[in-house]
Amino acid sequence: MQPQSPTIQPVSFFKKVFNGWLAKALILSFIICILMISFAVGGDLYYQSIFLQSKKSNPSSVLAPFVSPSPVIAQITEPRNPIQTTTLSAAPTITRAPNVSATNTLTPTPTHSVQATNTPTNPPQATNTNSPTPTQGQIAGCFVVVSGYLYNMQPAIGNNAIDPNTGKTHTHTTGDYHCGTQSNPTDMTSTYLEKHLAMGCAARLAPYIVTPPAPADPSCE
Amino acid sequence: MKKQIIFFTSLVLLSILITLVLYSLFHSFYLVTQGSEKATEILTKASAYLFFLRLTGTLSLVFIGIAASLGALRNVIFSFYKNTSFWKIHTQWASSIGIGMATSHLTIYLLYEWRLRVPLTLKLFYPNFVHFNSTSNLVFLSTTALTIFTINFIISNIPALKAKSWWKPLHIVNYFAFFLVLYHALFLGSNSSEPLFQILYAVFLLLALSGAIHRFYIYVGKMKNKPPQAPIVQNSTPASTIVQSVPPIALPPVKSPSPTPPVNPTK
Repeated sequence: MQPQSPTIQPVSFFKKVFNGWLAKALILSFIICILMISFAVGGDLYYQSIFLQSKKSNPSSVLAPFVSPSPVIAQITEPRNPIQTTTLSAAPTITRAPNVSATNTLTPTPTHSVQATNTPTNPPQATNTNSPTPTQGQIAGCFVVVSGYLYNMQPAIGNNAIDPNTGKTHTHTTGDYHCGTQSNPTDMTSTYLEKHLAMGCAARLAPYIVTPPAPADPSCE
Repeated sequence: MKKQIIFFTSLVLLSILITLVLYSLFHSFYLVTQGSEKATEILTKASAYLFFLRLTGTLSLVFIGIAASLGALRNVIFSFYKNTSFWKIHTQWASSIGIGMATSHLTIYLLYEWRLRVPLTLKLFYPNFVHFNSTSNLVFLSTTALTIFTINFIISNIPALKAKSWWKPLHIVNYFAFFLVLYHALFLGSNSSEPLFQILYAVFLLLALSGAIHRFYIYVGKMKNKPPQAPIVQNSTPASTIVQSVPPIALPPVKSPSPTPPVNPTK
Protein backbone atom coordinates (compact mmCIF):
# COMPACT_ATOMS: atom_id res chain seq x y z
CA MET A 1 0.00 0.00 0.00
CA GLN A 2 1.60 3.18 -1.14
CA PRO A 3 1.34 6.27 1.03
CA GLN A 4 -0.61 9.01 -0.68
CA SER A 5 1.28 12.20 -1.19
CA PRO A 6 -0.58 15.27 0.05
CA THR A 7 -2.19 17.22 -2.75
CA ILE A 8 -0.63 20.64 -3.19
CA GLN A 9 -3.22 23.32 -3.54
CA PRO A 10 -2.10 26.04 -5.96
CA VAL A 11 -1.88 29.35 -4.14
CA SER A 12 -3.06 32.29 -6.10
CA PHE A 13 -0.92 35.38 -6.52
CA PHE A 14 -3.52 37.45 -4.66
CA LYS A 15 -3.31 35.17 -1.64
CA LYS A 16 0.46 35.18 -1.76
CA VAL A 17 0.62 38.94 -1.76
CA PHE A 18 -2.05 39.62 0.79
CA ASN A 19 -1.14 36.85 3.17
CA GLY A 20 1.47 38.76 5.10
CA TRP A 21 1.55 42.06 6.84
CA LEU A 22 0.35 43.91 3.76
CA ALA A 23 -3.26 42.93 4.29
CA LYS A 24 -3.16 43.93 7.94
CA ALA A 25 -1.40 47.18 7.13
CA LEU A 26 -3.88 48.10 4.45
CA ILE A 27 -6.79 47.26 6.73
CA LEU A 28 -5.23 49.35 9.51
CA SER A 29 -4.72 52.31 7.19
CA PHE A 30 -8.24 51.95 5.86
CA ILE A 31 -9.76 51.84 9.34
CA ILE A 32 -7.83 54.95 10.38
CA CYS A 33 -8.90 56.73 7.21
CA ILE A 34 -12.56 55.82 7.67
CA LEU A 35 -12.49 56.80 11.36
CA MET A 36 -10.99 60.22 10.71
CA ILE A 37 -13.32 60.99 7.81
CA SER A 38 -16.32 59.86 9.86
CA PHE A 39 -15.29 62.10 12.75
CA ALA A 40 -14.86 65.04 10.42
CA VAL A 41 -18.21 64.55 8.70
CA GLY A 42 -19.93 63.86 12.04
CA GLY A 43 -18.40 66.97 13.58
CA ASP A 44 -19.49 69.01 10.62
CA LEU A 45 -23.07 67.76 10.90
CA TYR A 46 -23.02 68.40 14.64
CA TYR A 47 -21.94 72.01 14.25
CA GLN A 48 -24.36 72.51 11.45
CA SER A 49 -27.17 71.52 13.78
CA ILE A 50 -25.86 73.94 16.42
CA PHE A 51 -25.86 76.77 13.91
CA LEU A 52 -29.35 75.99 12.80
CA GLN A 53 -30.56 76.05 16.39
CA SER A 54 -28.85 79.33 17.17
CA LYS A 55 -30.18 80.80 13.98
CA LYS A 56 -33.72 79.93 15.02
CA SER A 57 -33.39 81.21 18.55
CA ASN A 58 -31.50 84.41 17.84
CA PRO A 59 -31.25 85.28 14.16
CA SER A 60 -29.31 88.50 14.72
CA SER A 61 -26.48 86.60 16.38
CA VAL A 62 -25.94 84.43 13.36
CA LEU A 63 -23.14 85.72 11.29
CA ALA A 64 -23.05 86.25 7.61
CA PRO A 65 -21.29 83.08 6.61
CA PHE A 66 -24.32 81.02 7.43
CA VAL A 67 -26.38 82.82 4.90
CA SER A 68 -25.31 82.07 1.41
CA PRO A 69 -24.67 84.22 -0.46
CA SER A 70 -23.69 86.58 2.25
CA PRO A 71 -25.70 89.80 2.67
CA VAL A 72 -22.38 91.58 2.95
CA ILE A 73 -21.85 90.94 -0.72
CA ALA A 74 -25.13 92.65 -1.35
CA GLN A 75 -23.87 95.62 0.60
CA ILE A 76 -20.73 95.78 -1.45
CA THR A 77 -22.45 95.57 -4.75
CA GLU A 78 -25.33 97.79 -3.82
CA PRO A 79 -25.28 100.45 -6.57
CA ARG A 80 -26.82 103.09 -4.32
CA ASN A 81 -23.88 102.98 -2.04
CA PRO A 82 -21.61 105.72 -3.36
CA ILE A 83 -18.56 104.13 -1.87
CA GLN A 84 -18.90 101.01 -3.89
CA THR A 85 -19.83 102.45 -7.25
CA THR A 86 -16.31 102.38 -8.60
CA THR A 87 -13.52 99.97 -8.15
CA LEU A 88 -9.84 99.97 -8.88
CA SER A 89 -8.83 98.75 -12.28
CA ALA A 90 -6.83 95.86 -10.93
CA ALA A 91 -9.51 94.88 -8.51
CA PRO A 92 -11.65 91.90 -9.24
CA THR A 93 -15.19 92.52 -10.22
CA ILE A 94 -17.71 91.41 -7.71
CA THR A 95 -20.98 90.42 -9.21
CA ARG A 96 -24.07 90.39 -7.16
CA ALA A 97 -25.80 87.09 -6.98
CA PRO A 98 -29.42 87.12 -8.14
CA ASN A 99 -32.22 87.21 -5.60
CA VAL A 100 -30.02 88.59 -2.90
CA SER A 101 -31.64 90.89 -0.49
CA ALA A 102 -29.70 94.02 0.33
CA THR A 103 -31.06 94.05 3.83
CA ASN A 104 -28.33 93.88 6.34
CA THR A 105 -28.94 91.77 9.40
CA LEU A 106 -25.49 92.01 10.77
CA THR A 107 -24.30 93.71 13.86
CA PRO A 108 -20.54 93.78 13.49
CA THR A 109 -18.43 94.33 16.52
CA PRO A 110 -15.03 95.38 15.29
CA THR A 111 -12.19 94.97 17.65
CA HIS A 112 -9.75 96.93 15.54
CA SER A 113 -9.29 100.63 15.61
CA VAL A 114 -11.78 101.14 12.83
CA GLN A 115 -15.25 101.80 14.12
CA ALA A 116 -18.30 100.86 12.18
CA THR A 117 -21.91 101.67 12.65
CA ASN A 118 -24.10 99.10 11.05
CA THR A 119 -27.75 98.85 11.88
CA PRO A 120 -29.92 95.98 10.85
CA THR A 121 -32.35 98.03 8.83
CA ASN A 122 -30.17 100.56 7.06
CA PRO A 123 -27.39 100.18 4.53
CA PRO A 124 -24.01 100.15 6.21
CA GLN A 125 -22.88 103.53 7.31
CA ALA A 126 -19.32 103.00 8.25
CA THR A 127 -17.32 105.69 9.88
CA ASN A 128 -13.63 105.60 10.25
CA THR A 129 -12.15 107.65 13.01
CA ASN A 130 -8.64 107.17 11.78
CA SER A 131 -8.97 108.14 8.19
CA PRO A 132 -11.98 110.21 7.27
CA THR A 133 -11.89 109.59 3.54
CA PRO A 134 -12.81 106.09 2.53
CA THR A 135 -10.80 104.73 -0.33
CA GLN A 136 -12.15 102.71 -3.14
CA GLY A 137 -11.31 99.16 -3.90
CA GLN A 138 -10.16 98.29 -0.46
CA ILE A 139 -11.74 94.94 -0.67
CA ALA A 140 -9.43 93.92 -3.45
CA GLY A 141 -6.28 95.38 -2.08
CA CYS A 142 -6.49 94.82 1.58
CA PHE A 143 -8.58 92.89 3.99
CA VAL A 144 -8.40 91.20 7.27
CA VAL A 145 -7.69 87.59 7.88
CA VAL A 146 -10.18 86.52 10.47
CA SER A 147 -9.80 82.84 11.09
CA GLY A 148 -7.18 81.75 8.68
CA TYR A 149 -9.60 80.94 5.96
CA LEU A 150 -8.14 83.44 3.60
CA TYR A 151 -4.87 81.70 4.02
CA ASN A 152 -6.39 78.32 3.49
CA MET A 153 -8.30 79.21 0.41
CA GLN A 154 -6.58 77.78 -2.56
CA PRO A 155 -6.51 80.73 -4.94
CA ALA A 156 -5.50 83.20 -2.31
CA ILE A 157 -2.52 81.35 -1.05
CA GLY A 158 -0.07 82.68 -3.58
CA ASN A 159 -0.84 86.14 -2.40
CA ASN A 160 -1.56 85.57 1.17
CA ALA A 161 1.65 83.81 1.81
CA ILE A 162 3.65 86.89 0.89
CA ASP A 163 4.17 89.50 3.53
CA PRO A 164 3.80 92.88 1.85
CA ASN A 165 6.18 94.50 4.29
CA THR A 166 9.05 92.11 4.13
CA GLY A 167 8.36 90.23 0.94
CA LYS A 168 8.83 87.00 2.80
CA THR A 169 6.39 84.17 3.02
CA HIS A 170 4.51 83.86 6.22
CA THR A 171 1.34 82.45 7.64
CA HIS A 172 -1.40 84.86 8.39
CA THR A 173 -3.04 84.80 11.74
CA THR A 174 -6.21 86.35 13.00
CA GLY A 175 -6.20 90.08 12.56
CA ASP A 176 -3.51 90.22 9.89
CA TYR A 177 -4.08 92.40 6.91
CA HIS A 178 -3.96 90.77 3.58
CA CYS A 179 -2.41 92.92 0.93
CA GLY A 180 -1.29 91.66 -2.37
CA THR A 181 -4.31 90.74 -4.34
CA GLN A 182 -3.14 93.02 -7.05
CA SER A 183 0.16 91.24 -7.34
CA ASN A 184 -1.69 88.26 -8.65
CA PRO A 185 -5.09 89.43 -9.75
CA THR A 186 -5.80 86.36 -11.78
CA ASP A 187 -5.99 84.25 -8.68
CA MET A 188 -8.45 86.40 -6.87
CA THR A 189 -11.47 86.11 -9.03
CA SER A 190 -14.78 87.46 -8.02
CA THR A 191 -16.02 83.97 -7.39
CA TYR A 192 -13.41 83.28 -4.83
CA LEU A 193 -13.69 86.67 -3.28
CA GLU A 194 -17.36 86.03 -2.88
CA LYS A 195 -16.56 82.74 -1.27
CA HIS A 196 -14.21 84.40 1.13
CA LEU A 197 -16.87 86.80 2.10
CA ALA A 198 -19.40 84.07 2.43
CA MET A 199 -17.17 82.26 4.85
CA GLY A 200 -16.07 83.48 8.22
CA CYS A 201 -14.65 86.79 7.24
CA ALA A 202 -17.75 88.64 6.28
CA ALA A 203 -18.80 89.98 9.64
CA ARG A 204 -15.36 91.16 10.48
CA LEU A 205 -14.82 92.52 7.03
CA ALA A 206 -17.95 94.60 7.11
CA PRO A 207 -16.30 97.67 8.65
CA TYR A 208 -13.32 97.41 6.40
CA ILE A 209 -14.85 97.03 3.03
CA VAL A 210 -16.17 100.55 3.09
CA THR A 211 -13.33 102.17 4.94
CA PRO A 212 -9.59 102.21 4.58
CA PRO A 213 -7.77 99.72 6.69
CA ALA A 214 -6.44 100.62 10.05
CA PRO A 215 -3.31 102.74 9.86
CA ALA A 216 -1.36 100.05 11.62
CA ASP A 217 -0.58 98.60 8.23
CA PRO A 218 0.82 101.36 6.04
CA SER A 219 1.47 99.03 3.14
CA CYS A 220 -2.24 98.83 2.53
CA GLU A 221 -2.55 102.45 1.66
CA MET B 1 25.66 53.48 27.45
CA LYS B 2 26.11 57.11 26.50
CA LYS B 3 24.37 56.50 23.18
CA GLN B 4 21.47 54.85 24.95
CA ILE B 5 21.02 57.80 27.28
CA ILE B 6 21.06 60.23 24.37
CA PHE B 7 18.61 58.10 22.41
CA PHE B 8 16.09 57.65 25.18
CA THR B 9 16.34 61.28 26.26
CA SER B 10 15.65 62.34 22.67
CA LEU B 11 12.75 59.91 22.53
CA VAL B 12 11.22 61.37 25.68
CA LEU B 13 11.73 64.94 24.43
CA LEU B 14 10.17 64.07 21.08
CA SER B 15 7.18 62.48 22.81
CA ILE B 16 6.72 65.58 24.96
CA LEU B 17 6.95 67.78 21.89
CA ILE B 18 4.37 65.72 19.99
CA THR B 19 2.07 65.77 23.02
CA LEU B 20 2.36 69.56 23.25
CA VAL B 21 1.66 69.95 19.54
CA LEU B 22 -1.46 67.81 19.79
CA TYR B 23 -2.51 69.61 22.97
CA SER B 24 -2.14 72.92 21.14
CA LEU B 25 -4.40 71.65 18.35
CA PHE B 26 -7.04 70.36 20.72
CA HIS B 27 -6.84 73.44 22.91
CA SER B 28 -7.53 75.76 19.99
CA PHE B 29 -10.50 73.58 19.10
CA TYR B 30 -11.68 73.62 22.71
CA LEU B 31 -11.60 77.42 22.72
CA VAL B 32 -13.66 77.44 19.57
CA THR B 33 -16.31 75.27 21.15
CA GLN B 34 -16.66 77.48 24.20
CA GLY B 35 -18.91 79.93 22.44
CA SER B 36 -17.07 83.12 23.25
CA GLU B 37 -17.47 86.09 20.97
CA LYS B 38 -14.23 85.34 19.20
CA ALA B 39 -15.10 81.68 18.98
CA THR B 40 -18.42 82.47 17.36
CA GLU B 41 -16.64 84.38 14.68
CA ILE B 42 -14.11 81.66 14.11
CA LEU B 43 -16.66 78.90 14.13
CA THR B 44 -17.80 78.80 10.59
CA LYS B 45 -19.54 76.03 8.87
CA ALA B 46 -16.39 74.24 7.81
CA SER B 47 -14.59 74.39 11.12
CA ALA B 48 -15.00 70.69 11.87
CA TYR B 49 -13.36 69.82 8.58
CA LEU B 50 -10.64 72.35 9.25
CA PHE B 51 -9.92 70.88 12.66
CA PHE B 52 -9.68 67.33 11.35
CA LEU B 53 -7.67 68.56 8.40
CA ARG B 54 -5.11 69.96 10.82
CA LEU B 55 -5.27 66.96 13.13
CA THR B 56 -4.75 64.36 10.41
CA GLY B 57 -2.06 66.49 8.79
CA THR B 58 -0.14 66.81 12.03
CA LEU B 59 -0.51 63.14 12.89
CA SER B 60 0.53 61.98 9.44
CA LEU B 61 3.63 64.18 9.69
CA VAL B 62 4.41 62.74 13.10
CA PHE B 63 4.00 59.09 12.11
CA ILE B 64 5.71 59.39 8.75
CA GLY B 65 8.44 61.39 10.48
CA ILE B 66 8.93 58.61 13.01
CA ALA B 67 9.09 56.02 10.24
CA ALA B 68 11.56 58.10 8.22
CA SER B 69 13.74 58.94 11.22
CA LEU B 70 13.90 55.32 12.35
CA GLY B 71 14.80 54.24 8.83
CA ALA B 72 17.49 56.87 8.57
CA LEU B 73 19.01 56.24 11.97
CA ARG B 74 18.65 52.48 12.04
CA ASN B 75 22.38 51.77 12.04
CA VAL B 76 22.91 54.13 14.95
CA ILE B 77 20.05 52.58 16.89
CA PHE B 78 21.06 49.01 16.12
CA SER B 79 24.55 49.73 17.40
CA PHE B 80 23.28 49.86 20.96
CA TYR B 81 19.74 48.52 20.83
CA LYS B 82 19.81 44.97 19.53
CA ASN B 83 16.17 44.13 20.01
CA THR B 84 14.68 43.88 16.55
CA SER B 85 11.09 44.35 17.65
CA PHE B 86 11.41 48.11 17.45
CA TRP B 87 12.09 47.80 13.73
CA LYS B 88 8.43 46.89 13.28
CA ILE B 89 7.63 50.49 14.16
CA HIS B 90 9.35 51.51 10.93
CA THR B 91 8.13 48.71 8.72
CA GLN B 92 4.64 48.22 10.05
CA TRP B 93 3.02 50.49 12.59
CA ALA B 94 4.28 54.01 11.94
CA SER B 95 4.12 53.65 8.18
CA SER B 96 0.61 52.13 8.22
CA ILE B 97 -0.80 54.75 10.55
CA GLY B 98 1.05 57.55 8.75
CA ILE B 99 -0.29 56.55 5.36
CA GLY B 100 -3.79 56.14 6.79
CA MET B 101 -3.62 59.62 8.28
CA ALA B 102 -2.23 61.12 5.09
CA THR B 103 -4.96 59.54 2.99
CA SER B 104 -7.65 60.82 5.34
CA HIS B 105 -5.91 64.23 5.31
CA LEU B 106 -6.27 64.37 1.54
CA THR B 107 -9.88 63.19 1.63
CA ILE B 108 -10.84 65.69 4.33
CA TYR B 109 -9.15 68.45 2.31
CA LEU B 110 -11.39 67.61 -0.62
CA LEU B 111 -14.43 67.49 1.66
CA TYR B 112 -13.41 70.84 3.14
CA GLU B 113 -13.15 72.46 -0.27
CA TRP B 114 -16.44 70.92 -1.28
CA ARG B 115 -18.08 72.29 1.88
CA LEU B 116 -16.81 75.75 1.02
CA ARG B 117 -18.26 75.31 -2.45
CA VAL B 118 -14.92 75.44 -4.15
CA PRO B 119 -15.23 73.39 -7.32
CA LEU B 120 -13.39 70.10 -7.06
CA THR B 121 -11.31 70.24 -10.18
CA LEU B 122 -7.77 69.34 -11.06
CA LYS B 123 -6.91 73.00 -10.52
CA LEU B 124 -6.56 72.15 -6.85
CA PHE B 125 -3.58 69.98 -7.75
CA TYR B 126 -2.01 71.73 -10.72
CA PRO B 127 1.60 72.77 -10.33
CA ASN B 128 1.90 76.53 -10.47
CA PHE B 129 5.22 77.61 -11.94
CA VAL B 130 4.70 81.31 -11.28
CA HIS B 131 3.95 81.23 -7.59
CA PHE B 132 5.95 78.43 -6.15
CA ASN B 133 4.31 78.53 -2.75
CA SER B 134 0.79 78.52 -4.06
CA THR B 135 -1.49 75.97 -2.50
CA SER B 136 -1.92 73.96 -5.66
CA ASN B 137 1.85 73.49 -5.77
CA LEU B 138 2.04 72.48 -2.17
CA VAL B 139 -0.88 70.10 -2.56
CA PHE B 140 0.71 68.68 -5.70
CA LEU B 141 3.97 68.06 -3.86
CA SER B 142 2.28 66.36 -0.95
CA THR B 143 0.18 64.21 -3.26
CA THR B 144 3.37 63.16 -5.01
CA ALA B 145 4.87 62.31 -1.64
CA LEU B 146 1.82 60.28 -0.65
CA THR B 147 2.02 58.34 -3.91
CA ILE B 148 5.69 57.56 -3.29
CA PHE B 149 4.96 56.47 0.26
CA THR B 150 2.07 54.27 -0.77
CA ILE B 151 3.93 52.57 -3.61
CA ASN B 152 6.88 51.92 -1.34
CA PHE B 153 4.63 50.73 1.44
CA ILE B 154 2.93 48.17 -0.77
CA ILE B 155 6.09 46.98 -2.48
CA SER B 156 7.98 46.66 0.78
CA ASN B 157 5.33 44.30 2.09
CA ILE B 158 5.56 41.96 -0.89
CA PRO B 159 8.63 39.77 -0.38
CA ALA B 160 8.95 38.84 -4.05
CA LEU B 161 9.17 42.49 -5.07
CA LYS B 162 11.29 43.51 -2.13
CA ALA B 163 13.99 41.11 -3.26
CA LYS B 164 14.39 42.96 -6.54
CA SER B 165 17.49 45.04 -7.12
CA TRP B 166 15.48 48.20 -7.77
CA TRP B 167 13.74 48.05 -4.43
CA LYS B 168 16.43 49.88 -2.48
CA PRO B 169 16.78 52.91 -4.77
CA LEU B 170 13.02 53.14 -4.86
CA HIS B 171 12.86 52.94 -1.08
CA ILE B 172 15.41 55.74 -0.71
CA VAL B 173 13.06 58.02 -2.65
CA ASN B 174 11.00 58.01 0.56
CA TYR B 175 13.47 60.50 2.05
CA PHE B 176 12.89 62.85 -0.83
CA ALA B 177 9.13 62.45 -0.33
CA PHE B 178 9.51 63.18 3.36
CA PHE B 179 11.29 66.45 2.62
CA LEU B 180 8.44 67.33 0.28
CA VAL B 181 6.03 66.69 3.13
CA LEU B 182 8.04 68.95 5.41
CA TYR B 183 7.98 71.68 2.76
CA HIS B 184 4.23 71.23 2.40
CA ALA B 185 3.74 71.42 6.16
CA LEU B 186 5.90 74.47 6.63
CA PHE B 187 4.27 76.59 3.96
CA LEU B 188 0.72 75.29 4.06
CA GLY B 189 0.25 74.26 7.67
CA SER B 190 -2.25 76.51 9.39
CA ASN B 191 -0.29 76.35 12.62
CA SER B 192 3.16 76.48 11.11
CA SER B 193 3.71 79.98 12.44
CA GLU B 194 3.59 78.64 15.99
CA PRO B 195 7.03 77.96 17.50
CA LEU B 196 5.92 74.57 18.78
CA PHE B 197 5.18 73.33 15.30
CA GLN B 198 8.35 74.88 13.92
CA ILE B 199 10.37 72.99 16.51
CA LEU B 200 8.62 69.77 15.48
CA TYR B 201 9.46 70.38 11.82
CA ALA B 202 13.05 71.21 12.71
CA VAL B 203 13.43 68.06 14.82
CA PHE B 204 12.14 65.79 12.06
CA LEU B 205 14.20 67.59 9.47
CA LEU B 206 17.30 67.18 11.60
CA LEU B 207 16.63 63.50 12.31
CA ALA B 208 15.88 62.52 8.73
CA LEU B 209 18.62 64.68 7.23
CA SER B 210 21.32 63.55 9.62
CA GLY B 211 20.35 59.92 9.14
CA ALA B 212 20.27 60.26 5.38
CA ILE B 213 23.70 61.94 5.30
CA HIS B 214 25.09 59.30 7.67
CA ARG B 215 23.85 56.50 5.44
CA PHE B 216 25.11 58.26 2.35
CA TYR B 217 28.63 58.39 3.78
CA ILE B 218 28.44 54.72 4.72
CA TYR B 219 27.39 53.93 1.17
CA VAL B 220 30.22 56.03 -0.29
CA GLY B 221 32.70 54.33 2.04
CA LYS B 222 31.48 50.92 0.93
CA MET B 223 31.83 51.90 -2.70
CA LYS B 224 35.40 53.12 -2.15
CA ASN B 225 36.49 49.99 -0.33
CA LYS B 226 34.83 47.66 -2.77
CA PRO B 227 37.36 45.51 -4.67
CA PRO B 228 37.05 45.86 -8.44
CA GLN B 229 36.22 42.23 -9.29
CA ALA B 230 34.74 41.14 -6.05
CA PRO B 231 31.84 38.76 -6.30
CA ILE B 232 28.52 40.13 -5.27
CA VAL B 233 27.99 39.03 -1.73
CA GLN B 234 25.42 40.37 0.62
CA ASN B 235 27.81 41.79 3.14
CA SER B 236 25.46 41.85 6.00
CA THR B 237 26.18 43.60 9.18
CA PRO B 238 23.97 42.68 12.10
CA ALA B 239 21.95 45.78 11.38
CA SER B 240 21.31 45.16 7.75
CA THR B 241 20.43 41.54 8.17
CA ILE B 242 17.52 42.43 10.32
CA VAL B 243 16.58 45.24 8.10
CA GLN B 244 13.07 44.60 6.98
CA SER B 245 10.14 42.78 8.38
CA VAL B 246 11.96 39.56 9.11
CA PRO B 247 10.47 38.47 12.35
CA PRO B 248 12.97 37.53 15.01
CA ILE B 249 13.25 33.78 15.26
CA ALA B 250 11.92 32.53 18.51
CA LEU B 251 14.65 30.32 19.85
CA PRO B 252 13.67 27.44 22.06
CA PRO B 253 14.32 28.09 25.68
CA VAL B 254 17.68 26.88 26.89
CA LYS B 255 17.34 23.77 28.90
CA SER B 256 18.21 24.21 32.46
CA PRO B 257 20.76 21.80 33.84
CA SER B 258 19.23 18.60 34.85
CA PRO B 259 18.61 18.37 38.53
CA THR B 260 19.59 14.72 38.46
CA PRO B 261 23.19 14.06 39.38
CA PRO B 262 25.52 13.24 36.53
CA VAL B 263 25.86 9.66 35.68
CA ASN B 264 29.01 8.13 36.82
CA PRO B 265 30.87 6.94 33.72
CA THR B 266 32.65 4.31 35.61
CA LYS B 267 29.46 2.45 36.26
